[in-house]
Amino acid sequence: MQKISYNELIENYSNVVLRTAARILGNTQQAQDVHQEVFLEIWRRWHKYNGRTNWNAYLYRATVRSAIRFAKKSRTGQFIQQQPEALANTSNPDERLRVAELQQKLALSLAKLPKRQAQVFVLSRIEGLEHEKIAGLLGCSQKTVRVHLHRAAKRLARELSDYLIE
Amino acid sequence: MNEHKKINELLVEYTLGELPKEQTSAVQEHLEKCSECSSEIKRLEALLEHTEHIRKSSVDNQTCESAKQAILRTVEQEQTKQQTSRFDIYPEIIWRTIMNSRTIKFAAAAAIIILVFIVFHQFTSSSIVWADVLEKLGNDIKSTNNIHILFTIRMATPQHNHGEPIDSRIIKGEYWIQRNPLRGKAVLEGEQTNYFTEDKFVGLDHQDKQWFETIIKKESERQTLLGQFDALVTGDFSSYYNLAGFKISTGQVVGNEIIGDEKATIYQFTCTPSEDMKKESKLPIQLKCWIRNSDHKTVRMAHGSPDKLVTTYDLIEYDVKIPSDTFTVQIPEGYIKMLTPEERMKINVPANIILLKEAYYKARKDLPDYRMIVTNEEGYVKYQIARQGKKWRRDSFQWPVLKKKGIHPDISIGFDSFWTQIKKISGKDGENRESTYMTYEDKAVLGYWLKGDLESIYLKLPNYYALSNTVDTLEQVIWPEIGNLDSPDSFVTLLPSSEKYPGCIGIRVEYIAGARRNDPVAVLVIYWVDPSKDYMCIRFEHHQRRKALWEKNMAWEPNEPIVPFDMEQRYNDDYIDGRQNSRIVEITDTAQSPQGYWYPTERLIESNILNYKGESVESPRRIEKFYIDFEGSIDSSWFEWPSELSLPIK
Repeated sequence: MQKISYNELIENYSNVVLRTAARILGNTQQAQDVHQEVFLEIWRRWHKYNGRTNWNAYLYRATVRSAIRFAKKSRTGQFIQQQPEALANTSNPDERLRVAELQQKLALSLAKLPKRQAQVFVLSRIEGLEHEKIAGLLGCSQKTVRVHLHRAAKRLARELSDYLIE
Repeated sequence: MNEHKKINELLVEYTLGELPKEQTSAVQEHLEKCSECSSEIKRLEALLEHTEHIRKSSVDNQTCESAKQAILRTVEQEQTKQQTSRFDIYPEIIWRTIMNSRTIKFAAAAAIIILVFIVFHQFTSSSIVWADVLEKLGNDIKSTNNIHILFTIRMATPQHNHGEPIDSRIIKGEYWIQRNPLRGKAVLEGEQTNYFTEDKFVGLDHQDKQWFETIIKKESERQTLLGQFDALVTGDFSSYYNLAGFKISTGQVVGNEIIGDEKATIYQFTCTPSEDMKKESKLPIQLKCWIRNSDHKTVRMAHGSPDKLVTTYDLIEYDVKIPSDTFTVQIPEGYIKMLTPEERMKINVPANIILLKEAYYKARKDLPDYRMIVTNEEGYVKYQIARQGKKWRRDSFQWPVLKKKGIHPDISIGFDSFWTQIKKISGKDGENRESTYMTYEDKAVLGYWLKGDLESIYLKLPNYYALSNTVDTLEQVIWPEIGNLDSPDSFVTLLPSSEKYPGCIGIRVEYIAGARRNDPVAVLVIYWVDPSKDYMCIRFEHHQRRKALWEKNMAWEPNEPIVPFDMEQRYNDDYIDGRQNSRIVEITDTAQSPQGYWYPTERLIESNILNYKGESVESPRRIEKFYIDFEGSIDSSWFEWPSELSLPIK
């Protein structure tokens, strides 16, 4: 694995981190905060970096974790005010509101899941990665990925039932 | 499993379109007649549809660019700040850190040991994997005058594990008991560092024990070298490198020993503190280390004054590679003390977990009725295992009424009696399976387990907990600054005072223990903190949720009757946890890290021995642990930093 510079790291992975955080949180402002947190933490420990880190895997994990923690912290305070950009084209205001609320609740529910389940769910359903890729990123088997995804989906569907079915 | 349950388990895959045709049509058929599954399908479909929406979202280039610039600006600012302050502040901080912390002072020894051992290693050209040993020694030194126990558990689930995912883990834990010179009594402090290598070993079609263990070992070494553990590193070991204060002699071979069936070579090293360090610590300190070379390699260590050993104990399973019997080292005037087998059996400190391997050999080879006594300084525990032929039968356990006698006030939980049971479960898949547990007033308070092949016996003594400061209110307790990694949804509430524990502060903790039967299990634990003691005293009440209530609602009902944890009842299907596996519940302890953080921990351990081709194969063993999350008081990302960046010794 080739050793890269910190600037290269940011150049290569900044978009991925920002995009993943934004998808989880549904809010680019908060996603930027997560982005800042993840890369700043890396920089603080950069002197220990010896070139062996799989940044793709690490950053996925760190971003998901950080974003979920962010969502959790926001549980009692203000949360998403901004509507997800994916909904910008949705014309029905009620629908927009419902989906925005659902995304908030999804983020909160993700925060309640066991870490690995939440990671798998985000990487699979929100990032759209294949099981094989997820298994590689998280260092587990595809079967485990499927099991985590299964559990996460069932639990999320149960917890979000009030928002999923009108 | 009835049809509904079977189909219900397939709903997610069905929604994702991942089911084979046969199962798809079975699901469709079932959906027509089952309203419950139909509505669940609708929810799942809606959820996945929503995630599709999210996936389409993106972030515009301008935002990306501004985020990049923002982080670069912040980094630049931090860099400037550090450059201006580094030289003024660092020496002071380092010195203050060293002088204020007894732990770090003792850590000095680690540095010397490390240096000497490394140099020594260079000169002897031996192939001993000293780094492994030294890392543990370094850890141990910081608790000189303590008992310090390190343990390694390697485990993996088998292919067929009741639907649970296959995974494997390596867990290293450490506990120490510190003798506080100011108070003249021992207090328990501890820390557990867990390393997980999850899901590394898949497709265990052949559960060949040797192959299995080799793979795990190799994987472990590789992980150590490459630093790819998802390490939960609880200390910054980098400070050990530049500290000094101890003198260490090199070691020597002090003899051979037959232990059980094995020939062991005993090496000894001696470590003494410098005069300054003695002055600072006010305690004469000596470290001895035996490395026993055998099939089951262990390191034996002893602490104490030069004249008297204070503690002796085994550090277990070091996997030290010693090249040959001709390996020699030198020691000037060593304080050599070989422990006799009898002495080894007397563990003269209240160890939390002790590996008593010798008991196995004795029990297996010599004695039809084996008795072993484990003592602490004032009280004693008598522990007896009896067996008839090849079968184990019920044993007995006695504990003096220490509390009544008032001779060991540190043991805050007084036990009048225990009962325990060793079960031999026969059956196709349960051959050679052994399980045991101890209960006290229906609560699991003490546990040990026997592996199926009885290679070792773990004895867990009752826990007691201590806090160095007087605690008047709950706010004064330094609560754990550690993330609840496995169970984000722990809920902690205070309880009103109880007649049962007058004056104690009750803390009620609900948490999700982890996945069982494809679903998490709600667990309720109640802690009682006694503020009148100068140490933190915790009593555990451990409850698990009944299945019937569980299915209605995940959260605990406000007035839900508390069901005491009952080992017999666990076989009752009313319990969510009623599995037929052998299982032991270890209620461990609060632990305090060197940084002073306390965290109550609990582990559920399941062990199971399968008979594979005539051999006992230890197969499924799951450990679930939790840390109580007090509103995210720590940045949990700290724990997942690749360990390559923080391992003390390469």
